[in-house]
Amino acid sequence: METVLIEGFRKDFTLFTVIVLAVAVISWARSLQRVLRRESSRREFIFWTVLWGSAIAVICWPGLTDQVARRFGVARGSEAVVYTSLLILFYLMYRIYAYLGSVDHEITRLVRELAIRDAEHTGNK
Amino acid sequence: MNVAVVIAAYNEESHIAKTIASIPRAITGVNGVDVVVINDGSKDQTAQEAKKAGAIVLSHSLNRGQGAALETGFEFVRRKGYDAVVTFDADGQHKGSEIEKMLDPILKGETEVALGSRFLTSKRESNVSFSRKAILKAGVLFTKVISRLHITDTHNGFRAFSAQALQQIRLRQDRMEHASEILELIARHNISYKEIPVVITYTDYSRKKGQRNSNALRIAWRMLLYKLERGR
Repeated sequence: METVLIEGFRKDFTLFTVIVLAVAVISWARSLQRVLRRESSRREFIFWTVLWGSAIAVICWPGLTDQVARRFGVARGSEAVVYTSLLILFYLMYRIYAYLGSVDHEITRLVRELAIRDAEHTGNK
Repeated sequence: MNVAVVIAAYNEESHIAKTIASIPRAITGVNGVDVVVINDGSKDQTAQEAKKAGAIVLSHSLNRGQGAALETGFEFVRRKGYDAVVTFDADGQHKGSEIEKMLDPILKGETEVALGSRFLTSKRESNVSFSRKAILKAGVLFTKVISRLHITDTHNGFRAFSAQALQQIRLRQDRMEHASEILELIARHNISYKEIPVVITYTDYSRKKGQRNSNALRIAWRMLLYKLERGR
């Protein structure tokens, strides 16, 4: 297969790239469906659009990551993708941890309120 | 002045009645003493035994931790307008006869918070093991660094608070980290406190029920996260 020009659109789509592209397009379409049905927020839709859009762009313009990486002083596009993915993953982990903490706190508040109301209701002062 | 003695209890059916009975109902300068037991999702008859022993019982439908149970007791005390609250362990480690000396400086207006300390009594009175003492001493150092408070016993469940202090001490830590959080809140809000010598009696039962020394690292980690979250 002919290798693609760095700045150009990919011309040699292998079976693997087609499958990955299809998964990215379908996933984005599902997030669009969810926001149109008001099952998710616009902010969430923008996040998934950026994520899947980036994946589609990298598949269709494989030289893109190298160009972006060089601007940030990273030698190769693949390295930049790994570093960025790690940062995003750590940030998401932190957000999930914080969310779990707030849910845990809400459960305690609910259990507390029920305990106090039950005691008052049963005449326990 | 009306006082509530708050006891957080989890699976304490064998000891709770005895603990409640040890609490004096007549204290100089106090009109009435109510015992409030927070049954923290026990799987045994703790609530029933506590009711039979004459306590006011609040029951958590799920086990949420000692910190959560104490804060439930505190919230009940705030809503009912008690003038002071004493926290007391359910497992018989504390002496009911020492409640009066814990309340004394608060009743006299000398302080807003009284903190029990096993290290201010003679070595023979509190039978603390060497390993537990080492962990507690490390806790003292940790508290000095994190909260800048000079306390000799940072994890003693025997405490007393005035109603005014309780308005500022609102616990968010559900588990054993609440002990460090109480000290952090005292420091943050500049609440006056005094350490009172108290006797802690370890029994085979209380050792089995109590915290493992290995929990200390987890407590320290949770407190560091709490401090980061609070922005200081």
